[in-house]
Amino acid sequence: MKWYRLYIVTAWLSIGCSQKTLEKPQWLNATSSITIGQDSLYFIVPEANWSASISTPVQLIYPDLVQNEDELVVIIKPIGGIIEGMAFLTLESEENQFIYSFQLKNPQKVTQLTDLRTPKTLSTDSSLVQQQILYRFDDVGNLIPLAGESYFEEKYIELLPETGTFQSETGTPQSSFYVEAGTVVDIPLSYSLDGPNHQIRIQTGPLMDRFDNKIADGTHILFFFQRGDQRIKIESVTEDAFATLTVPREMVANSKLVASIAQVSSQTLNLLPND
Amino acid sequence: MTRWIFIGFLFLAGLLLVSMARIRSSHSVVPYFLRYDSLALNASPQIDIQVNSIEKPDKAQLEKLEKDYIAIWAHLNYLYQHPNPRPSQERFTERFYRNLAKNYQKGEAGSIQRKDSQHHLFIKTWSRDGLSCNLLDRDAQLTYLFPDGSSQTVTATVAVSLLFQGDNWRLDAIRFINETPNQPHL
Amino acid sequence: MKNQDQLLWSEFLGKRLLLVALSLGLLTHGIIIYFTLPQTYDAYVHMFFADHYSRFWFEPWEYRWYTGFLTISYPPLVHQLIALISKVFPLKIAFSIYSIAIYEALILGIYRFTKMFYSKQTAGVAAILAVVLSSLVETLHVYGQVPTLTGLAFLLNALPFMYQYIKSSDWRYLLMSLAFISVTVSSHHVTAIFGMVFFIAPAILMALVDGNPDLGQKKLFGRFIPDLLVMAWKKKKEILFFGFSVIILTITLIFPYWYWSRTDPISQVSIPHGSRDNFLEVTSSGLVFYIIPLLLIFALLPAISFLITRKKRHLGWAVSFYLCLLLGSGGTTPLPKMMLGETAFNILTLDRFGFWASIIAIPYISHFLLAFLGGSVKEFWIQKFGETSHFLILGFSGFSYLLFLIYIFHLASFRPLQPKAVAIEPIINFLNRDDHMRWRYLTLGFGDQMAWLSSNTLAATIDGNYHSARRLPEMTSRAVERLENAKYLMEEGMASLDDFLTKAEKYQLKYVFSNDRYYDPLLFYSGWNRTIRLENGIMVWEKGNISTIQPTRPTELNPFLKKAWGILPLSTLLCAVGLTVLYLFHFKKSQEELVSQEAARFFPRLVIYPSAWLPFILFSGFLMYQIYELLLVDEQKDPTTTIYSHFDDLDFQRFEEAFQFFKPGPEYSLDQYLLEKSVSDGGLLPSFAKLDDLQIDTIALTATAAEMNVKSTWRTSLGPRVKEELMKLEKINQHWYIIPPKVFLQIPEEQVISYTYTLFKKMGKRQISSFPTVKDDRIKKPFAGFYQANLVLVEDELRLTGELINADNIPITLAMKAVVTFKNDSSETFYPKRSFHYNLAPKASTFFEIPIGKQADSGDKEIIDISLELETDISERGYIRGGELSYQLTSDTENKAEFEATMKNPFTGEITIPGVLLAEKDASGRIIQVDLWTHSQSIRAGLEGRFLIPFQKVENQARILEHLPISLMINGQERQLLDQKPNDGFSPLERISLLPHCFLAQEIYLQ
Repeated sequence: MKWYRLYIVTAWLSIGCSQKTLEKPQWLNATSSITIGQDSLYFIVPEANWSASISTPVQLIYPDLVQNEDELVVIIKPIGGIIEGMAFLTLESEENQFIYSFQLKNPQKVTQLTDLRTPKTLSTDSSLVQQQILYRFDDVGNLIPLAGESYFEEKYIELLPETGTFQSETGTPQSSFYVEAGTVVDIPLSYSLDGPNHQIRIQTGPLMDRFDNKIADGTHILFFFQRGDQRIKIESVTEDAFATLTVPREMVANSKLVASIAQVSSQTLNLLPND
Repeated sequence: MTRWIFIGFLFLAGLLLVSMARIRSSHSVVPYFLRYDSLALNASPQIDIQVNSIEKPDKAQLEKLEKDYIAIWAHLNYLYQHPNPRPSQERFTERFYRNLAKNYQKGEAGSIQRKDSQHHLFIKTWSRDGLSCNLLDRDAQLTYLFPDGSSQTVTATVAVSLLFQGDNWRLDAIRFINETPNQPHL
Repeated sequence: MKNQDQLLWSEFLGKRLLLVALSLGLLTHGIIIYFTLPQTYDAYVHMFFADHYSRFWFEPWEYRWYTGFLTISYPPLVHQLIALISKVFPLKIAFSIYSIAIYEALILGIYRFTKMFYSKQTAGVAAILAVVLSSLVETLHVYGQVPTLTGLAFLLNALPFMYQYIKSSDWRYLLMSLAFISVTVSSHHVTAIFGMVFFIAPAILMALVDGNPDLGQKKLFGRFIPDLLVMAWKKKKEILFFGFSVIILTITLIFPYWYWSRTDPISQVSIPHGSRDNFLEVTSSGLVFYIIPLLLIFALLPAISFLITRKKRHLGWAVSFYLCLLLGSGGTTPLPKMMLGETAFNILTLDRFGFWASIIAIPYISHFLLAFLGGSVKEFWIQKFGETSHFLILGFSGFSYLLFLIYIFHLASFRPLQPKAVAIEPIINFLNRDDHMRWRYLTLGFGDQMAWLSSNTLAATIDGNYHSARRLPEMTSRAVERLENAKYLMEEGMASLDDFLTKAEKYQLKYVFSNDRYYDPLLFYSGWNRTIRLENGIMVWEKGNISTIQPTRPTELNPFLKKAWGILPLSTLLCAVGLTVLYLFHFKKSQEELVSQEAARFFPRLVIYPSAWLPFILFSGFLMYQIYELLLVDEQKDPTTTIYSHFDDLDFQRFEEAFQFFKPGPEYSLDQYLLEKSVSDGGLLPSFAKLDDLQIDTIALTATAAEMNVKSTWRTSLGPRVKEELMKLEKINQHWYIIPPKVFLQIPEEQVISYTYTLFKKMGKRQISSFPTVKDDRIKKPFAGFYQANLVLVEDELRLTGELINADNIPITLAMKAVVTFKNDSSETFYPKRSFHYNLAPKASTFFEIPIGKQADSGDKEIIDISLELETDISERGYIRGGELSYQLTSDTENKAEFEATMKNPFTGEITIPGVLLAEKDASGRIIQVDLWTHSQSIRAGLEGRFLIPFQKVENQARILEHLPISLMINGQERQLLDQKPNDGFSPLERISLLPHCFLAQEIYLQ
């Protein structure tokens, strides 16, 4: 087993011999703040193979290096930007590591406002007060102060009781908010005869909420007919604030009719009382 | 003779099989509920939260926020040293993640580590639906560990914008307002 | 001639026959297995386990079935080997490769096993027999039970070594036998356990007798038993050492399995299995589990019985053989149950005993066949009847057996074992996108292919195909196999499925992939909505408001046990292979080869004649019977048979065949029949039903005419439905024909109908991203409100009833539950079943009822709090609930009411299942009962349906309990009852209100 021990000693020695201490590179244009893509870092370095990495506040990135004998240029140009803040550059060669700290910034960037509305959908039946939260950031994700140096803003906005789709301050389709009609307040009910076809045409509408907005399309409306012991229920939906129903005359003549939407009912209508 | 016929059959069958053989690797991603975030589970900085917003979160929401905030910082610290953002995808919103992905380059892990030991959160805004939270993390204690064995602890003020997506809070935007060393780094 | 025969056989010595058998096995089974495996019962299950190991080798927790189970519930070697092969080949090919390799090992095992009994020539014949034995063919190509075959293959290979160890006490044989038994244990525990009794014990006895030649001469009821015991005592060291070694190996190699059995024992209701049926009553079970595997054994039973009782060395085998034959007969006699005990009888599948009987019989069958083909029996026959007759009987017997085998291979064609193949790629794509894997899914109508789907996806299903591992109470408390074939499991199956569909939230079950329309009504009325139809024709049903599966820690196993599970079983195989190589090259040649010298040179005539004729008679008879049943049986021999056959064709949608039973004539064509069918059929019956029972009563019968009252009971997913009709028949040319019934069809007045549908579209995630939905795309929770909520006691059962409204401007889907808290702080959750509209149009309301069942009014289980929780979500679908409903109370007694109702269909498609939701109210207008009534026939567009609706009132037994407060929660927020109540304007106010609740199958929303 002697050869084995000799091997270990030789390996240890060779490892030991390969490690040499290098002088700390001199940062020629040392500065406390660096803008990526604009500023490069110049170093005088001992002649060796150098590698570099930059610990930005969020992510580790690898800058480009241009080395010419004892001159080293560190060029920082990540594809996207970086999260700004305190960063550390690590220059490494042959087990030697040297660290330099500075503030890292992006060049002027386009910023984006976020306008969050809650609730996104309001109803004229309930409160029309809407919470608005604003904050701004660049396309990397750095928060940018709003006017007034604060990063976040919160407002409460009272909306008009008018139904529709409205744009937020950002103007993007995704951030739009909506005001919907509330419950109907009154159900006008009438009927007419369709003589040739022996049918009765029943109409309700206009169906409006308390702010005179048309109620939503597809609202469920129930028509109740009663003639003696016989009861008929017909379900329908509204369209453009009206609902119509056509029924055979013999089916409903001489019956009472009530139309209901949720807990709101119309007046009772007597259909063809003399039939 | 029979033996050779038998061997012949085996040879043909073997040939057929060999022609169909190739190493098959599975690229399936395990579902969300099976993924264990060991980074988040192993992190335990101290957190206290003060609610300064008009809308107030309830106790359950605050607990969830605290848990997810710890996880976000665990991943930020991991990303600080290992540039691949993939393991941290669940902790960031899409727009934040995409930029990290754009910058990603394969390489050695960084030699500087960062650890967080304390956060003081001041919730500035809380949306009514509990899906948006903006806060200031004042007096966050962050410690940088350098390869030469030295360390530097800084007190940081960080503005953080969080959005609740999927099953957890995610980082949407951030600003390191300042980082002041507690002691000069020697 | 004698010399020529001897020459013939001398050319085909045992080893050559073995090689022929191995080649034949490779050629036949090797090719066929790939095509038969999709139709087998178990192949896909084993592939699923293999897939598990290929993904998670050292992790026994499999989350994809049930809510997770441990794979240590089944010995892993077979699955691990298939998993390893699947690293190079696709899974199905890997399974096929493994199957054929094991079959080759089995052929070899049978060869070596037979050498213990008779000569090499017999062993060679046995090897050939192994290729064509019906029980083995069935086990592989019908059952797909490769672990059984693996266990058997290695057990049979172990037995000769064990035999030689007992005889010679050479420890090397012990090592070899233990090595092979280890593989058996690691592959199939049942074979290992029962193999001890039925194989190892007789082999030990045989070795003891063979070790003392005089012993075999002693009288059975004289000195034989005492001398045998003496011999056993002499070999006690060997026997005990072997026994203990096997026990230790059995325990240690699959220790996690025993650990699991002990700590998580199977405690579920016995699942019915065909092998336990009385085969005389349930002939289909008898066919599959007894006739097919054992017909050859029965045909040659005289020869087997003669040989197996001829010498005392076979005593053990005789006991095993007849015992297995008896146990394999299932419930045909009460003896198996008495012998095994009720628990074991109800847990075990008994076909395995018949299977083992067929294996034990192989040496005896082979020896007789050898004698018949070229030995003493042949000589006798030729002498008696001539060579030609010998050739003919051999030929016919062989040919009929070959046809019999072909019948087994094609069994699936005659008796479909599985639904048609389903292309799974569209389902996998669906599961992979849009985070669908965050919830569980369920398949319906897939058969065992559900395991194939599971093998190809990482999504989790609530169902599964390994019954021993189930622990969900909704499954274990009912005698059901899988949810996915619930309709075949009668009431229990449908009740279990109903549970899961209703309590979907409990298990995060959100998607159902339905391949069978039978389940559509149940899905719809349980609150499921159709989402999309995939490219493979599978309909995806979805339930709203289901929470995602939360990360949970799986059942933890000791890391050491996990490693052992992943390493030890495979090591046994490597060990066995290594030792075999050593044995072959270093040991075998120096030993006396194990070949028995026994040969039966004489067979009595009582054995020869039946054994010569029975195979031909039985196989031909069987095949002719099958042909007769398929082609020749007169389905119109009498009115009853005619009606049965007609309904059978209707049940399986074979309308052309069903038409053939109508009286032929120019006035009624197939075209007319199909047209009438298409317009009159529709609705719950018969579109979503399976025929369960037919009761035919003769009203009038003459020589040429009959009038029959036919009462058909149909199983539907909403419960049984009965239809009664009068059928008239006429006899023409010795065949009875049904007089086509007159179909009176309603004719709509209009030629063109129009209806304006208001359709909604939920935009969903507008941002196309694999990330979760952003805040701006999160749609608000729609508003809803409770009009009333009442706790009602009807006799001794509680229920929560009430009415609620969709207060929003969009259609919504609802999920409701009642959380009941008891005095001991425990709680239980209850869900509404069908007495509820799960989808509501804007401003529409619904009644509801949640059954709570019997509850204690004192003690720990006294209710102290009830929380009624409602979750809403936007729905695009299923909120059109019915047509124009007109009704009149025609009968109203104390306990019953009846309505005469008419429903008019104004829509452009048919109302497939007309339904009505009825709510009974007390004098104050508070709802005390809600019920769903459905009609069996559909209503076509523009037409109306008339029906009588019976209703059982509970007014006199119901009492509203007001002392228990009911807290109301809507979308997680506490709410109060709405101030204003709806007013239908009827006078007097209705005591029983009706709302339409119909199922429209037409996919209006899916255009």
